[in-house]
Amino acid sequence: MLKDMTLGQYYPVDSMVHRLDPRTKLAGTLLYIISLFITNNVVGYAIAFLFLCLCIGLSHVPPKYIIKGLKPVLVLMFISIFFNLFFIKGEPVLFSWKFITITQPGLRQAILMAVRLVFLISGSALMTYTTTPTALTDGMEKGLGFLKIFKVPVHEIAMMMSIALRFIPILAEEADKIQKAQTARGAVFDEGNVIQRAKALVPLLVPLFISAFRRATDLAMAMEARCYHGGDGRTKMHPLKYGRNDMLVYAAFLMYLALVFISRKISIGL
Amino acid sequence: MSLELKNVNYTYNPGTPMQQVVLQDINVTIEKGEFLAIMGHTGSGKSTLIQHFNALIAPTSGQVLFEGQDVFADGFDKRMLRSRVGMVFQYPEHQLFEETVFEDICFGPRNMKLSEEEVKARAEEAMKLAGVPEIFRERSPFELSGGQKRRVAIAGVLAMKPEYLILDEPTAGLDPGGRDEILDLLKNLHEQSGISIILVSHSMEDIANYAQRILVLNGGRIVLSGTPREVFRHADELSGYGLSVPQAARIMHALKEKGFDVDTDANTVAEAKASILAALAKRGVNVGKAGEADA
Repeated sequence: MLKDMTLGQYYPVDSMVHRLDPRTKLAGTLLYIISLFITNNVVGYAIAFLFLCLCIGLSHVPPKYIIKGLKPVLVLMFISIFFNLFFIKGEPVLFSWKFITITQPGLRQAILMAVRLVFLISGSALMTYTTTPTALTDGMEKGLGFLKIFKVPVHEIAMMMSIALRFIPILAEEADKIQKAQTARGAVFDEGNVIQRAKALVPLLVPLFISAFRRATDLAMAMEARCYHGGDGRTKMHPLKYGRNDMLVYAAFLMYLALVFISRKISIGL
Repeated sequence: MSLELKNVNYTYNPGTPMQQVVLQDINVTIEKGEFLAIMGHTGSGKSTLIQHFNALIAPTSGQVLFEGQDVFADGFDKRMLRSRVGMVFQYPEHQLFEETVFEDICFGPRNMKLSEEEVKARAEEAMKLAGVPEIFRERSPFELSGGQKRRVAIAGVLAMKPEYLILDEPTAGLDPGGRDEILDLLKNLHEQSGISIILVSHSMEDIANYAQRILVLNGGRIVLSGTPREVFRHADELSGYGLSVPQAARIMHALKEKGFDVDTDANTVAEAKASILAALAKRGVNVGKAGEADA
């Protein structure tokens, strides 16, 4: 069950996007998200869509895989569509029945928000598909290094994040095994009403929590045994370095942002 | 009355770059009352194989038959199957969760929707059968030692009164004393309660002493199958699969090379001893004392 979640998992192929510096990808994703909130019309969304397609194409991650990864956020999308569709007031009214009214601005907003959400998730998913969790936290640590001046423990936060990320697949596998062990004893997880389902999770969660705590203690012990004492004076085995491609990608992103800005001025009535 | 895998193939993550063929063309029939051992190197597909027996994993292609019925057919009662084909996983920590040992053992029969008296009666019986000491009844299962946890885990499965009991490396991580206790427990269950045992193990000694039939898995295929004697004759082949033969058999082979007329099929210490004594007697060595002492 947990294993089937593709959102946020590394997709191991070699491509130009995979080889980029993680800082480039982080900054790029951030810029892309910002661009999605700058756009306010169809032209802008079209540009964002084309740019996303280009990135996906360069990454060698099959589009099918990215679409599959969107499944877990469908619920969120429906909630967003629902609220936009039924609660935005305005003129002209397209449909009205008792207390339900659908307006043109509402419809427009619902569609644009849904599209924005899909782009946003696909874009950030692309980053995690093409970047290993280790590279990602390395990138964050280095990219946010300037915060150290303000006494933010950047290294420690990055370490905690990378450990947390590292443990997701381990705990997911563990959950899978526990689920199987309890299923073998006749437990059923997908039957009955909400309360029964919640109760059915107890045999799954208790062993999982115990195991997580045990692993955490073991890991802390093992790190301490190898003299880990935080970030001070710690050097990297593979220090991050920008290459020529990174510069090209930054340039491409700036051009893309400029295009999105220009698109705001274009009005074709939608 | 049997449990059967027919032309089973299993591929992990089909259609992605992580695709991995785990099992290929597996055909096995397990008769009621058998003591079967499955051995193989880490990653040979043992754990995946046994999870097919109680329908925890559906094969990518092929069939799993319980008493001739396809367990993945619509309307097949998987819960009934899982109570009749019990499975004990490698780590008891994966299944223990209740506040007390007794409550944990009750979990299985309670899921079978039996009456409360029946649940309690079965848990009592399973505790006795698995040799869980009475004083543990009200203790937390998390306070117990590794071997004790394993007994409780086995009791938790026995409480469902399975006809087949599958165990994944039940002796891993136990000290020699704990290991012998668990294996003797399995032997008793097999001989006295008539439960079919399917044991996954790395330990050649365990297998030689207890199993009636052995399956050897390598790279997701069954490469050898037969009685311990038949299988352990293939010492070279086994070492190619990252496995070995029992120590006793290795000594017998070494003695044979030195010119002693011993039975190289002897796999247990007792068999080896008898054969060595016989060989020495043939050579005219006086083995009277040693022979008498245990004869």
